[in-house]
Amino acid sequence: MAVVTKEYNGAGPTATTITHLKHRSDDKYDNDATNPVPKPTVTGYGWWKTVGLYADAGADIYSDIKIYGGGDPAWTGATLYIGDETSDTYQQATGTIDGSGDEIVANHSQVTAKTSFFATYTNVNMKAVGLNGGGASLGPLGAPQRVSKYVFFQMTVTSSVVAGSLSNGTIYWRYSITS
Amino acid sequence: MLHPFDTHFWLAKLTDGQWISAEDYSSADPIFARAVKVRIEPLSMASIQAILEAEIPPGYTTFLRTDIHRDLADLENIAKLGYIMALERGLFPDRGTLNLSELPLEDGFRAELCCWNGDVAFDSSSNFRYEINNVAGIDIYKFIMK
Repeated sequence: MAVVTKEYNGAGPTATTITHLKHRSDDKYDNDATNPVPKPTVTGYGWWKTVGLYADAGADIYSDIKIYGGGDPAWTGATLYIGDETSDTYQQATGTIDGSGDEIVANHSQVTAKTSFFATYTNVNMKAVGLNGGGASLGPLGAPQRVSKYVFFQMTVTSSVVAGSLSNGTIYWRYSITS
Repeated sequence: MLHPFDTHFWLAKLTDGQWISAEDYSSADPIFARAVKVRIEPLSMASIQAILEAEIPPGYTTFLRTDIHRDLADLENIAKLGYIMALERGLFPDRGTLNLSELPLEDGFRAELCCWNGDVAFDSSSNFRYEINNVAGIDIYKFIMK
């Protein structure tokens, strides 16, 4: 009963298991050096990212899904935001390829506000995510499926950002299963 | 139900004296409603050597959860694992599916064995307390109605 993180891309969307949330200037999940977020003259954005917690079929009953950061990487000129809302409605990321992504609050139908993720959400202040479908619990699962609502992230960069790859930040899921 | 990642498991004594455990049941199963005593015990000597134990007073419902913390970057391993034992006054037919964080703590307690550091977190109404005894190297946390 594997539990993994999926990133959702494309119009479909297509779900892909990830181990790295790579911020890019296109709507792809790949953890490589292509299509980096350009250093802006004032402020720019990575294309927003859509992720979810995904589980195999099995007897487990899931509840109380949360997400939090493993410490603030304190990037200069770069901040990872999380949409205040989570949702079961997917919206494909938009923007200019090799340019800025569209700002998430202004352009994502499900997000009305955003919060600095690493500076806010920690192991003592986790963000509640909610379950796919909005119930109090989910399971047993008859087929593999997304168990959390979609979570939306967006990287914001300013002219002070240091060129090159940023250090990795750590993102944790926390969820309960009925013992 | 036991998972490969489990370090502890629950056992429950029923009204007729029979013991059941996570090896064969889920605490969501109907038979668990007949439990009068519940324990969370280590599965092996490699586990944190701590036991949580409670007698279940009449009129109370027991909730058992496993809290799992996963690093997005690590598909294989669990970052933190905690075992939750909670009691609350009242009959909760949805005890296996209820989101425990949405259940107000009114007359019961919540205890978590935090397997990443061996601590036991305890939050309670005024009518429960706990005592710790060390028996053969195992810390037994017993939750007692005052």
